[in-house]
Amino acid sequence: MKMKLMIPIAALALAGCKDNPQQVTPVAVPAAQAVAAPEKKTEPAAVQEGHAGHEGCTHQPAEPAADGHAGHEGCTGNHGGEAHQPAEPAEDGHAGHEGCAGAHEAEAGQGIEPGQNTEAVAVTDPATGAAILAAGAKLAGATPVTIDDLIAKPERYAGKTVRVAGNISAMCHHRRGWFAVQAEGRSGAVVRVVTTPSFKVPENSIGKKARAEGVVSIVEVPSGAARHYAADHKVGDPAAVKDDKPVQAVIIRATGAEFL
Amino acid sequence: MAWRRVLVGLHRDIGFLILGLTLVYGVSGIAVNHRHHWNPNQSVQQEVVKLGPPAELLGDLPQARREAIAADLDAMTREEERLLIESVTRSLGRQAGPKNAFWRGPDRLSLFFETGNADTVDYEPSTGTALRTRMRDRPLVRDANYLHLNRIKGAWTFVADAFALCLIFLGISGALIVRGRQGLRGRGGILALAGIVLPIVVVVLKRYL
Repeated sequence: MKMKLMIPIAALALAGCKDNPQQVTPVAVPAAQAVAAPEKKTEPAAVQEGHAGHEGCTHQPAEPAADGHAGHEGCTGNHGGEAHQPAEPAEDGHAGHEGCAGAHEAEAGQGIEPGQNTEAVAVTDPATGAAILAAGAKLAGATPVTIDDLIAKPERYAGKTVRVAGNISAMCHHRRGWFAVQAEGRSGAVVRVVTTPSFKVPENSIGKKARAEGVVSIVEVPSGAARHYAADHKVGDPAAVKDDKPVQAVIIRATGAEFL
Repeated sequence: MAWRRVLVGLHRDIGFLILGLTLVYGVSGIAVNHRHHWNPNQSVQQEVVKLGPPAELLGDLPQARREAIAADLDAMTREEERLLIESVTRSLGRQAGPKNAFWRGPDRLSLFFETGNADTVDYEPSTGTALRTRMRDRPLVRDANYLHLNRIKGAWTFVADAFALCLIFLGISGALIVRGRQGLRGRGGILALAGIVLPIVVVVLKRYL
C-alpha cells in the first residue's frame, strides 16, 4: 500500500519543486509609503518569495553557502533563471546561505538570464589614472546622494536613478549579487546595492571603495533573508525582524558600478 | 557472456581512470556537506585583544581633546580619527597601516589589512577591545571545492559531466556484473532497492509531507 502511494508521490517529486522563484514578483511599495521604522509593521503588497534559506531554493545540488552567517546567503539552489550552479561555499567565512536564498533575485525583479551577471573588468579611472574595476553600464553622472539622506528619506528617491559612493562593508559571497555601501561617519547607515542580474560584485570587495548608479527601490525583504543580512552581514537591524514578517528596506538596483 | 566480460573490463578501466576525481569530489562533498558547521574553503582565526578606549590610544593629544573624545566620540576630527587608526595599528604590533579603515557602525571601526575579509580588525571603542580576524585558504580542500563546484566553468563543465556519466556507468555496470544470488536477483537487488528508496522517502518526508 505504501509502495503504491510512493510511486505517484515520487512522480510528483520528479516533476519539479513547488517553489518557482521565477514566478515571484518583488513588492513595489508605493513611493508615498515611508520606509517603516523597525517597530512599524506594514502588510506586504504582494507575496514575497517564501523561502528563507537555501533549503527552499532547490533546483540544484546544494552548495556550501558563503558569507559568515549561520545560514548563508548565502543559498543553495538556483536563483531565478540562473542556471543550475552547484551551491558554492561562501568566499568569506560564512557558514551558510540559508538566509540568502533567492532574496536578491526577488529584489532584482527578474530572473537571471544567461549571458548576464557579467564580471567586472579592469579600467583606468579617468580622474585619478588609477586602476579600478568597472562592472555593468558605464556610470552616467546620476544625481549623487548620501547614504544617510537616502535611508532617512527613501520616498524622496524611490524610482529615481542616483549615484552612491562609499566603503563596501558587506557583500554577497555566494552569488556576488549585492554589496553594501556604508555611510560616511559613525551613523551606521548602510544601503544594499543589488547588482544581479546586471553584473557580479568582484570577489574580495569588502573594505574597498565603490561608486554605483542605479534605481532606488523600497522592497520587502523576507524575514529569513532580513535576519541573515543583519546577523551575518551586519546589514540592517536584527530587532526589526519580528514575527517572521517581511522587513521594508531601501535598495539600489544597480546599473553600473566602479570598485576602487 | 561476452558482454559481461566487456562490461567488467570497462568497469575496471573507467574505475581506475576516475579514481582521482572520485577522491576530489568525495572530499569536497564531505567538506561542503558540513558547510553549516564550518567554512569549507577557509579557516577563520579570531582573537580579541584589549587595547583601551580611544582617549587612551590618543595619549599624545592634549588632555582637553582626550576628555572631549571620551565624552563624545563624534567630537573626533578626521585627523584624530587617522591618529586613532594609527594607534590601533601600532598597538597590534603591525608595521604597515591598513589598506582602508572606516566605521561599520557607531561602535565598530574596521581596519582592512588585506584585500577583502582576509585580515581585518574591528575595534570597539566602547569596550576598548579589538577583534582580529584572519582567514586563510584551506589547502587542497579549497582546490577540491573549486573543481567540485565548477568554479572554472568553460571546458571543465564537460569534464565534470563526463565524470558524472562515468559514475553512472560504474553504478549500473557494477549492478549488472555480479550474477546469481549476490546480484540484482538476490542480495544485490535488495541493497539496490534500499539505496533507491532511501532518497525518495527522505524527499517525500522532508519536502512534501
